[in-house]
Amino acid sequence: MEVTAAEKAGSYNSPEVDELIARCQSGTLEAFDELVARYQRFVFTVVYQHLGSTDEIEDIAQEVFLRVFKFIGRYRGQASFETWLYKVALNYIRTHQRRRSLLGRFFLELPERTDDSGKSSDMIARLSDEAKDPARSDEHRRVVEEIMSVVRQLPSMYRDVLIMREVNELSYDEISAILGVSMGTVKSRLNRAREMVRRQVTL
Amino acid sequence: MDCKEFRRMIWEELDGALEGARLAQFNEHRKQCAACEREYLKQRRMKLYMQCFPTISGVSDRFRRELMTRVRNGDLRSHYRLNYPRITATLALFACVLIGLLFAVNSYREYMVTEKGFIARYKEGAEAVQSAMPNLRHELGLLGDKPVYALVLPNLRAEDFVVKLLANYENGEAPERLVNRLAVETGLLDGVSMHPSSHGLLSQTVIVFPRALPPVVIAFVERQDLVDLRRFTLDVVNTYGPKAITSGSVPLASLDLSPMLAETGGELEIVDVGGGTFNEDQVPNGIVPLVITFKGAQLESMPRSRN
Repeated sequence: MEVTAAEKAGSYNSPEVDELIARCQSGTLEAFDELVARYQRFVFTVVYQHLGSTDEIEDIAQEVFLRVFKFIGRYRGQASFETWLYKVALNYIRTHQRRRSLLGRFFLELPERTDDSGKSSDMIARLSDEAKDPARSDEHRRVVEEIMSVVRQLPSMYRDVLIMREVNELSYDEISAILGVSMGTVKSRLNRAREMVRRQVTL
Repeated sequence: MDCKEFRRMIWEELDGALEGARLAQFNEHRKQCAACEREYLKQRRMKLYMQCFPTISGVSDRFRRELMTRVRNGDLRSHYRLNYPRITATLALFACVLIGLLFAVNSYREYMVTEKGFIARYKEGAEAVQSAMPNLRHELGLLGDKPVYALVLPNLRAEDFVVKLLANYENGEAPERLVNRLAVETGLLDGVSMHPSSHGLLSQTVIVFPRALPPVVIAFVERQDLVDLRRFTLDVVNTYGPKAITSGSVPLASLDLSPMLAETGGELEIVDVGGGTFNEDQVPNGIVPLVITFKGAQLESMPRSRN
């Protein structure tokens, strides 16, 4: 979250991001395309980290950006754009998970993916490969995977706050704004989540 | 600083929120306590490992192209759609199962009434009554060729029986004649009053019994009354459970039937109205005696079965 300079200038975003958002809000498709290019990696990462799998990462990221396109007029600059985007993504992930658990795969049709040429596309395998860093040692990767699996088994209220704080290094203020809960709640959930992970992980 | 306080402050330190004297105390404790130092290092490693969670390093341009295609085409609706044919098929299947179940329950109920299958499971009533014969004959000195009909409800209070009878009469399931025979002529309804009462949207009737009802009553009925009574007994079982009709004890041992029954010189036969041996075709014409026993009958206990 590199917003300090922009914050000093009276905005949470850099001037170019503000300008890009303004163009998006006026309905310029090119600006939205630029916005997607700029934040797609961020959204993919958020979706991947909170969802814990790459199975539907693209579809969910696409739905998140469509929501951004629909609702960008509601962004008033009261927080950084990344914070707002994180909130949109997290809300959609929760909706998606709720829908999944209620209706299950049985009642939901997976979207059919096609690009400009009308051909169906599948980038999931490639994304999954990219999510692994070959530079890390096997032991390091094993420990990370162990912690990840523990984190993913936490109840969502603890998991979300832990990922936001420890993985994405958001401030308490930002987490509080995204989740719409008080700072005290954020801290207590975080303490609980850390304690739960600490008990289950052997380091 | 003690270990407990130190451990509470570990995450504060890892968050960079410890400063000044508190940080100095914290570091001092780390040096002095090996266990706390290990715990601190463990939690620091955990934090560092969490910062190494994988991220997406690059996204294909195809993703953006596909997204922009949807935006340009105005296709903003979620692509996650409900699978309506599957939902319809599931609901239809569920409805079929439900209808089938209701049909089966209704058929079973009819079967129980018409084929006596359900009531036939509870032979204890008839057998128990039969087993009381020597006592009855001895006590009453009765020898008759006209059977005595009996209904044994050892786990049901007379009041519950009357309430159920009135409820069935209210909704048209029990004929008025049966109510007259079982409740009016036997005196069970003497002094009983009914008061309409309402709680919010619900209205109900409160039935007040001026005194406890007797646990044994004797009525005089005809063949059709016995058939209606069997049907009503099934409703009683449905409402109060099968235990209402099963007889754990035999309540007829010291029953004084002499004032009501005529001596006929033959052998006294007792037929359980709730039993499987009941056959309406064998009910003699005219009036027959019916004994109904309820919970609380203070009578001798008898063997459950002659078998």
